[in-house]
Amino acid sequence: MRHAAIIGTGQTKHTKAHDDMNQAELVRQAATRALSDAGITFREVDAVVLANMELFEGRALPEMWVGAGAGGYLKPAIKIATGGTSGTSAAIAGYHQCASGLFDIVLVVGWEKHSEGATQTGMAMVDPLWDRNVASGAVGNFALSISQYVAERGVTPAQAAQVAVKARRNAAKNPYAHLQMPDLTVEQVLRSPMLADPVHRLDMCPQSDGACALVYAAQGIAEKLCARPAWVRAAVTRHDQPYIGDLDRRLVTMRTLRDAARAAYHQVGIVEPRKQIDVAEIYEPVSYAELAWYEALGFCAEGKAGELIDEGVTEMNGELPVNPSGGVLSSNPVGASGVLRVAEAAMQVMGRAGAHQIADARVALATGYGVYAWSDVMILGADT
Amino acid sequence: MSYTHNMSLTHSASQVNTFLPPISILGVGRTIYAPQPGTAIAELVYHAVQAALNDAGLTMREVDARVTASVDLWDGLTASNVAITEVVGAVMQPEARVAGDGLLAACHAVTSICAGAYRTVLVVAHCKATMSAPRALSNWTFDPIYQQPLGLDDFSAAALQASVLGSLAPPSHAPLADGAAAIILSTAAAPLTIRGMGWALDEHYLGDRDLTDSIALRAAAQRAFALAGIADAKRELECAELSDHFDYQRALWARALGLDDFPKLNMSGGLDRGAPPFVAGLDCLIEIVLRLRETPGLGLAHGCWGPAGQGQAVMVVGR
Repeated sequence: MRHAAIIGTGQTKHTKAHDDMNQAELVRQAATRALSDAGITFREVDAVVLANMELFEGRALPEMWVGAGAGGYLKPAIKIATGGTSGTSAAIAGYHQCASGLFDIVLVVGWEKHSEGATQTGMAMVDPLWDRNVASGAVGNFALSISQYVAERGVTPAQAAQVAVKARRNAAKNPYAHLQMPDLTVEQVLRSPMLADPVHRLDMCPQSDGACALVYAAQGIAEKLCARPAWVRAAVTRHDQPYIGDLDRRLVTMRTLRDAARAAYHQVGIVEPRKQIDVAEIYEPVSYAELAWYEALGFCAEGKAGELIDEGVTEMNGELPVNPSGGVLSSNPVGASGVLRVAEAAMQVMGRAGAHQIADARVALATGYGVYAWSDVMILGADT
Repeated sequence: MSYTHNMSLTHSASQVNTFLPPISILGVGRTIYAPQPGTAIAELVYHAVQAALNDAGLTMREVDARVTASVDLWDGLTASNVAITEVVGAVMQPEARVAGDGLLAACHAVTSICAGAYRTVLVVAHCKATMSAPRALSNWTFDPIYQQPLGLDDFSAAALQASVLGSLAPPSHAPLADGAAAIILSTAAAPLTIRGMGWALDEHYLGDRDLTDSIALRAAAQRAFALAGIADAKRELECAELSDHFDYQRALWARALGLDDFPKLNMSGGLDRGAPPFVAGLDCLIEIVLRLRETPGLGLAHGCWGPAGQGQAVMVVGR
């Protein structure tokens, strides 16, 4: 049992179709960039943790082929696959491996190449007896839960659209982001085609090809390799019921995120998240979800998420900037999306986020969201 | 500690543990291994988990986290651990899901416990191999550019490996069955403890591999033996259970482990007992646990997954 920190991150450009790279090459590029950022090579990596949702590309055990791209040859390598939380769960798994005392340096790489698969078909491969006949993928099931959320909380389509605008405007500062739209307006979001009421196309995340990697080092090594490591302060996972109909008003309660955040805050000593967290990278597959997550994460009181976005609290220059990278709404290679949240949070703490850097970020929150309502929460800090 | 013989670390190697803290195996449970078309995945897992909890004398409340092992394409489900959330007790609780063999999930669970994240972890593996199409599915394991178009699958890869080992007959595959297995690991003191573990990935391209050997298994075993303080596996082990998915693999894995002619190898009869893919390695561990409960000593469990054993895992337990 020992402390561990992120000392390097790397990612590919996220885009609609990476015709220039296969899956192994995407992974290779992200991994080499992360190692280069950490100032080490594949030789120094003791273990590898991969994240990918293989059904989206229709491959079986893709790490067999792709693993070598992450330098996994003759190394301890495992793959974590938990839907949307694959990347954050892999980040937590890599943290555990490094903190275990068994491995000094652990490389985590997540990737997805949606352009080579049929994601909607993959997402419909749910329980064959009860859920598959009504399976509607992310858009359909979110529309259902968003309708409940809107009815109860009264957030407006314009407030949700403002989240989408914020994300794509921030993404314009992130050279790796997929959807960079610096001049997007609320009106344009509201005029974009309706996918499933009330979700407009620009309210929804894209499907991207891309990969993201991060490097953990154990205490004693991290400080030598990195001037300002991003220490893991908390890592919490909560899963929930397998049937969407069994989840009580999913976005209103979002009990997994609420509970995981509460546990993580307790570990770190956070009692006023809005004041004590400097920046957050949260997994928001749809604009409305970000508003719901604000409440679950305690950024605002129940029912006040609309006001939070109206007041600009979560903008780049606000009190608690949320997703300066552009978030999942701007780049979404699913197996990498969770790794991206953690990597972007780490970049903020390390002071390496470039044009989307939040000044003096010392405490950063990263979350993962997957399946119907699974959550991961990690807190990174400049101090151990 | 370096994993491969030619790797020299630039940072301080003394940071890495050379032994495992005490982690016990409190209980084991499994279903029968047979075609079970009328039993859903969740029901199989329920029986294995309840058996493990009963064996350990625990209730689900005393389990802090779970690590499950399954592979989506074999289950025809996306994130196939969704099917078992309730029966592994993961509602509002931590779970990690490893896509690979159950013994690898057990190894990962040990790292989480060593990290101080959890005290008691349930490890579960499941597969309904009779409902899957292993030939078609395993073709999709091969890289799409060079190997997949050749029509390679786990069975033809095994035939290639058997032929380079000198066998003229096609290899015989262990019976495909349905089932689930579960074990409970804990920091609570108990007679059986985990002494060593290791896992590794081999080269993917069969043409680039020496198929007459398994250097990934050697790398995994080197790590496991170093942690367990084993210098001469053949003399120091009481028993070993290897995942012989194909008949020729028993001798191949034994040699890579330094266990040629080891008398107490696969006393269970090996995977002819029917443990399905991805369950097999965890079931080997269960066999070892049951044997060590009768006869104290050190036992070795082995699991492998992927074409011709590309993925390899080893765990050493002792009483």
